[in-house]
Amino acid sequence: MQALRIALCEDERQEVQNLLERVSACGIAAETSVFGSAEAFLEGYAPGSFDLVLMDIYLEGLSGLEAVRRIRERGEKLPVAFITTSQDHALDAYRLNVEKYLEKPVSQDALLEVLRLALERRESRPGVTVFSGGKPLRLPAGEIIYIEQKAHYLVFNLPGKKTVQVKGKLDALQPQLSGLPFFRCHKSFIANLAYVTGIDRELMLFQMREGAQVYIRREDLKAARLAWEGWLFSAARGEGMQG
Amino acid sequence: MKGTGKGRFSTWGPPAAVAVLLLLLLLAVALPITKSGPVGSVREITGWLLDGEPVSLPHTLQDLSPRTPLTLSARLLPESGDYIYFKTVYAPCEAYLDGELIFSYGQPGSYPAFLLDPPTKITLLPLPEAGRELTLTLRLLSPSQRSGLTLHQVLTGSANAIMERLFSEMWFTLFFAIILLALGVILWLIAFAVMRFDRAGISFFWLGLFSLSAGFWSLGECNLSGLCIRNPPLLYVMAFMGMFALPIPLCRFGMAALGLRHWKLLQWACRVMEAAVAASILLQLLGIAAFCKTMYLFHTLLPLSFCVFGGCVLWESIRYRNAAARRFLLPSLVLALFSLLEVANYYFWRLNVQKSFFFQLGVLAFLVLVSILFGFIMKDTFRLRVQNARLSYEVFLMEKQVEVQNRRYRLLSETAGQIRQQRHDLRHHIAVIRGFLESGELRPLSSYLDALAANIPEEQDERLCENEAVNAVAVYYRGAAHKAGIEDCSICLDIPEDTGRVPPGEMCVLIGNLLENAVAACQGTEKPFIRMRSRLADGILTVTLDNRFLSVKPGPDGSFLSGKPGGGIGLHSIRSVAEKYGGSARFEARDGVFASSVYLRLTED
Repeated sequence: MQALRIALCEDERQEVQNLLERVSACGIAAETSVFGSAEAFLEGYAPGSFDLVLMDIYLEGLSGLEAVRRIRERGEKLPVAFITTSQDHALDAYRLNVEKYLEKPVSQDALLEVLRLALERRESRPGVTVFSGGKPLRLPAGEIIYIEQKAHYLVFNLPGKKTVQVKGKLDALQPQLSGLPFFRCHKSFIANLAYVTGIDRELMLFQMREGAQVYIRREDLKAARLAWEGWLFSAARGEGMQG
Repeated sequence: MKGTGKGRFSTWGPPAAVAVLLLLLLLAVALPITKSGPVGSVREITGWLLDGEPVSLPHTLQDLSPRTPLTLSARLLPESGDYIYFKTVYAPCEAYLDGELIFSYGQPGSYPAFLLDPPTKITLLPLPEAGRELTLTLRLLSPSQRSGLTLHQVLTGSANAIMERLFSEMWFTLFFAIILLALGVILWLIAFAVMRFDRAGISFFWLGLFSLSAGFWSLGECNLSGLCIRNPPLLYVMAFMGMFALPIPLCRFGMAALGLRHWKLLQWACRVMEAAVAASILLQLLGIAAFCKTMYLFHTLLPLSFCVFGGCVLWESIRYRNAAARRFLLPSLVLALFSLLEVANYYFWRLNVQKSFFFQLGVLAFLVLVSILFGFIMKDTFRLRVQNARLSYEVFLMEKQVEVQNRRYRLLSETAGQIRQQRHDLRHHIAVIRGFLESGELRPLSSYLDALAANIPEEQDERLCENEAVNAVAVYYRGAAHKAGIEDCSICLDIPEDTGRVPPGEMCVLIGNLLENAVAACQGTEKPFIRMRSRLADGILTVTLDNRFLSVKPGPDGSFLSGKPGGGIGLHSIRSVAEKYGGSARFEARDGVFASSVYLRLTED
């Protein structure tokens, strides 16, 4: 099982120490990235890069509330738990779909509950199941940048230049992707529209995040542009699939 | 706006049709006319004697003193139904057949005295069938205004044959005249249609006048029109006025349409021409000098002013890279070149072509090219209009921003006062609470606290967007929506203070136009609503707006023209801002909801 990726946003050293200890004491495989401010968190944040955010409300500079509001406005639905001394902002937190309120000092039980919830949420997210060496492997849709057919293999390109390679055919995979923001733009490529940052009409390719490029068939250029724009528009309307 | 699509069509259509017609005509002229030799039974009368000396026509006499009597005679054998055709230029003329007067023209009193010489007359006279040779004698008096006199060919034959012969020689000039006149009228119609909503239409008016002038000149010069319009003074005035006035509308057109930096030169050219035309009319009316004499001055002025015009256009297009001047460079130079060719031919080469043939070619080429350019002019005009509309809209939005800022400032100073008051009240409340506590009256304490909680002032800051300017615009339109009875107006924008390469003004125009259209479209609908959302990721700002709508019809080019005037320009403006910054816009209407979606790049790729 993949480790649970946690973003911890907290500016008090002591609290960071406490939380890190408690996270490891939960017995759930987890990777925790610590950010000292909301700004640093927003900078290091990319859709799909975390499974859970632990966010202090009162931070120097931008508040935790504002940081969460911003990622929510982008249509990102990942679980967030606020760490706070008071319940002053309970209403705001409710409005922002925050999973949990963790009161300082954070207790072991409360944290365990939050981590379990995040795990559950990760498993229930839309994605594809592929078989790697006979074992099922779940890849959340929001973490696939694009899929390439290389001979008999499917190469899933994930954030951070990671790849997952399994035997298979794009045609057989496509039904699993219906209803998700994926576009078959080429015989050998399927792109996740949520990762597209632009279209190069001359070179006929999708510019993707992290500098990736995905080819588009000449005949599909217009359809590709319309599909991508359609995704942009529905994401702005808040109808978009989570990235 | 509603008329925009239609207007664009109607201004493209006629010039395009005219351009095609003119091209066809030019092609027809370029093809050699294969007919040669006498047509039908037209015969040139030969064996002329001029005052007893043999002469062959046409013949030009020079250095004649005014009113020198000349006698031309020849022998001819008329057949049944024969006519003779002859032309007299500014010379009074009498025709005798075997000593019997059969025709008289240009005697004093038969034409307005101020004309000094009788205008050019073209005559078709029936001949009696005599069955024998007759002597035709023409008695002419040389003109008073010119020392030269050209004796033109005299033709004889059936009336139809003569007409056919003339037509084969002159049809180009006649058609040229008719087409120029028709083009002039069309241009005027366009001018009046365009001027109703745009002053730029005046340039069509001047171009139309140019075409009409050239048309009148050609019509006046054409021998065929002389046979149809039996009013020599009218043709005389038409021909000369058309010719003399020609550069005036051209220069006015240049001043109006080309946006020249140094338009003063053209204005001077224009004034000189106007003064010259006025002087020539005055001289003619006072009987001092006829048009046919002052014409020599215009033979210099016309090519000169065309060259000035061409030079101006050339200079502006090279020195200032003026787009309009560049477009008109080719036609202007063609016009100047052909007018020079015409003068060269008139004075030096004397090629055997119709009078003003080169000039007609030049004018034709000019008008064909200009007609083709019309589309571009209209497009420019339309773009300029959109630009102006956007600019004035930007100013309007800025006023709204200042209003909202002023309101915020007032609010801020009010709040400062309130806070002072609250601080004072707080001491009082603490004292009251302590009193309740010390006396152990918990129930009244609780109700006191409830009352206090109910009176905590609500936050009054209006904040729909982080970007100050856009926020002000959004606040203004939300107010407008509430005023219009649209309660369900939800605006949630994530536009940062720093909008990268997109200037705040254009961002406001984009958001303002979207909301303006939405508020207008919602009015009078059941359950009106406005929902505006945005998303910013990877430097791409996406803005969507959904609203109830009543009447939005797709335009002829797939764009939407809302029922309200200006709506078309609004959508056009949204699209142009989006496209300017590497994005696009989509407008969809379904189930009574109008969905506008726009995206643009805040950062360069």
